[in-house]
Amino acid sequence: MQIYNKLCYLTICSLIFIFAPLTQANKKTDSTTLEPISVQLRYLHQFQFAGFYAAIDQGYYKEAGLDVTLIEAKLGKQTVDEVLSGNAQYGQTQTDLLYARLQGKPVVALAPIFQHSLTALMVRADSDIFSPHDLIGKRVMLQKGDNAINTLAMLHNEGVELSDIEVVKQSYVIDELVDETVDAMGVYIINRPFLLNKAGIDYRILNPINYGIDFYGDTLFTTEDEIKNNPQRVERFLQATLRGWQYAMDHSSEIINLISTQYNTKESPEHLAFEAQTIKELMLPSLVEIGHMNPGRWRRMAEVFVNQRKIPANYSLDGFIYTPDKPWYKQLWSRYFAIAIILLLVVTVLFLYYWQLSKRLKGVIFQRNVAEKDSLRLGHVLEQSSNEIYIFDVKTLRFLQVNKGGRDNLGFSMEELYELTPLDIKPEYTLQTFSEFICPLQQGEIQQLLFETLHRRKNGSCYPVEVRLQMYAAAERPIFYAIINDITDRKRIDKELLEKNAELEQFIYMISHDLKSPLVTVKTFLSYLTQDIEKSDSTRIAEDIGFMGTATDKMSRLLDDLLEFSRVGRQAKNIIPISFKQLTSDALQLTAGSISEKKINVKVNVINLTLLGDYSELIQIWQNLIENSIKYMGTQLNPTIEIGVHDSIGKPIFYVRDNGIGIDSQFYEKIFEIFEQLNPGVEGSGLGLALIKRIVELYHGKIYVESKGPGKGACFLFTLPETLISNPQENDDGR
Amino acid sequence: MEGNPITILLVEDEDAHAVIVKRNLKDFKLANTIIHVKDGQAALDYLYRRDAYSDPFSSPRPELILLDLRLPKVDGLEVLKTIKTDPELVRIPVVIMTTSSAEKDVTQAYDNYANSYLVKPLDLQQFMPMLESIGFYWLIWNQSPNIV
Repeated sequence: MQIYNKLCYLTICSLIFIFAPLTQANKKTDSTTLEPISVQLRYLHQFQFAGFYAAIDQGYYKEAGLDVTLIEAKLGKQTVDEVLSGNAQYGQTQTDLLYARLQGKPVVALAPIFQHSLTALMVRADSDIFSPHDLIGKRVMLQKGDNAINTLAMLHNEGVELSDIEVVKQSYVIDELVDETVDAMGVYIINRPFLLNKAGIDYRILNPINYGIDFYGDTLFTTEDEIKNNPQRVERFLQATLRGWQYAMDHSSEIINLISTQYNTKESPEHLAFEAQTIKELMLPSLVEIGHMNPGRWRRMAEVFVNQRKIPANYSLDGFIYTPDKPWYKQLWSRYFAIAIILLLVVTVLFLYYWQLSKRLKGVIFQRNVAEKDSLRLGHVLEQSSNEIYIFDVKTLRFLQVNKGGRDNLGFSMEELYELTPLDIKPEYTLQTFSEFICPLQQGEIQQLLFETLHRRKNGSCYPVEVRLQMYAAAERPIFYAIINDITDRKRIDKELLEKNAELEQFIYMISHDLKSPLVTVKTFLSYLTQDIEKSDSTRIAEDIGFMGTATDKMSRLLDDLLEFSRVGRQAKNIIPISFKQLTSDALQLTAGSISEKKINVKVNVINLTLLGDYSELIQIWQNLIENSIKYMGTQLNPTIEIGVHDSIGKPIFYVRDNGIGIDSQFYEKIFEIFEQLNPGVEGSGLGLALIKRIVELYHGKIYVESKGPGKGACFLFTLPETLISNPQENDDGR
Repeated sequence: MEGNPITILLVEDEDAHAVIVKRNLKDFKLANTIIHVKDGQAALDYLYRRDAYSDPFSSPRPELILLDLRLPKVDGLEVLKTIKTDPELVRIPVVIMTTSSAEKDVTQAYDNYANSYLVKPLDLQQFMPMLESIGFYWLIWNQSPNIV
């Protein structure tokens, strides 16, 4: 838009620049004080000077700010000299003007009034002279040298030299031709032929034009000084004069009348009419612009002077031909040019304006398209988001929109949701409690509500959610919008973390207790020992030492187990495929000593199964379970341990069964807690089963125990899902 | 009460600790009978005269129970709760004697109406006077209600 504004400004500036001087120039002509100037005529008042009369009479000079005086020619005074001497500023004369210039006189041709010379040779019609050549040996009356130059040039061109003819001095009357004392007469063709006609004699004209010599006729002129000092006056005078001539040509009878009545002329109106007619033919006003000047013709005329040996060949016409010092804007071509430029500018400005407009429109449309695309995309993203997004009415609380994430989790279709409100899916809220809860949001007191609650699915199940509720009141229909996060995972992790924390607390608590207990024993019996040694009570000494030994053994075992326990799950794992068969046989190898000592039968029900896991972790499960069974075998007559796997639909359940002392169902869970020991009499730190449970859980498995009661044996069952993930057999089952 | 045989029920999984208690109380000649059980289950069996403890003459009601908290099978706290919620057993003074000085244990014990809470000292020079005090306090000075 800025470019457009600048261009407008530029255009207006250029218009002012182009037209301002014109209006200024026009103003000047309105001036009331007229400049007096004089015009030297070459002859007496006659139609030859019609343009001046017309210009005066029509007020053209007045408009140009000029008060023009016309001076008639006086005998013996040359027109050119009169103007050069300053008696007049302007003049109208013939070829002598060019000759004067070629002689170095500072005259300047303003405009040729007649396009062709009025000077020619006239002969009687009844003579035998038909061409210049016929003049040889004849008496010829010529004008003064410089004005007859075209005639001389014609003769020369036709091979007639001055020596071939008898030159007679000019008398300016036709009498000699009438009485045939001369054969030919140089005349001014606008008036002499008329006079001859009047005398009843027919004539013939030998015109130089017909012989290739075409001179300008009467020419308006001034001096170099005038042009230099009053260039504007020159121009104004010239234009007004040419206007006058145009008027005179168009209204010749009016001007004839004017000359007859206003100017002291000897010529009759018929004579004047003859002049007018001849002049019109010479001026060709309808074909050639009045005053049109061609420098080439002046040069050709000058060449004639050179050929006549009147002047040297190295002449110069510089400064002779008037070139108006017109401001460029006044010249016709430049006006057209200016108009063209203005038009071009206007068109350019309009083009730019519409271009800018269309560009801006395109921009607006493009931006709108982009905005629409953006909001459409946002809409798609929100619809597809796994975050649940609910929009519901502020008044009715009815759902207006629920995105895919919300519909999928809730299990409701949009059609079903249109009939529901958030209360239908929020079991923890009633209409009253919910209304109270969202009141501050509705009142604008707060920007959003962030809270946790439960959402109930269509199938009745509930899931914990975090809700970010906001109100959008700017819409024509105020809405609530809620972004819902299903925080089931977060809650589960929180719970796990709490459990881990509790476990850790328990762990530290147990350690502090169980480590302190043997320490109390050692320290106390150390004191007893000191006393008993003093008393030399050998029985008591042995007892003291025995207790201390037991306590330190217990401590040592506890520390070993603790170390083992803490390692589980923290060591870098080396996951490898291990066959179930390998694991059981290795575990039995490790416990072989106790098994043979207690004469225990071992049954292994092996199936072809490969587990993927850390060997040192997995082997501990079976090793510890076998050790546990051996430990709690009791006084069984036929002690048996059975190891195997129930493979039910691709989810193998491993088991280690014994027929030992068994376990009361109330302790099923307690036995897996750390530092729990059911039987104080049995060796162990209470970490064995806790360790197994921990390993099983590392593989996302579960462990539990079954027993038909005390004395009826126990069976430990566990799963290890994580070890089966890469088992091709399992994958085929589509887990 | 004079001349009546006095019975103390000692619930202690650590043999060594039981020996310490027995030695001291015997040294002070404060109790006629110290019955030692090693886990919570056995303690309750004794109090309810179940199985091996069904004879009231060989298993008399104790005048004092010394109860450890960390016990196999049934936890000391559970034993305490059972005693203090049973109208027949509630009057028997229960002194918690354990290695734990954890705030949680102390609080839970008193919340369940333990009569006293003692932490086993590491040093016999402190253990002995403590046990002596317990005996004198609970068996001599303390006026106990008539326990049926």
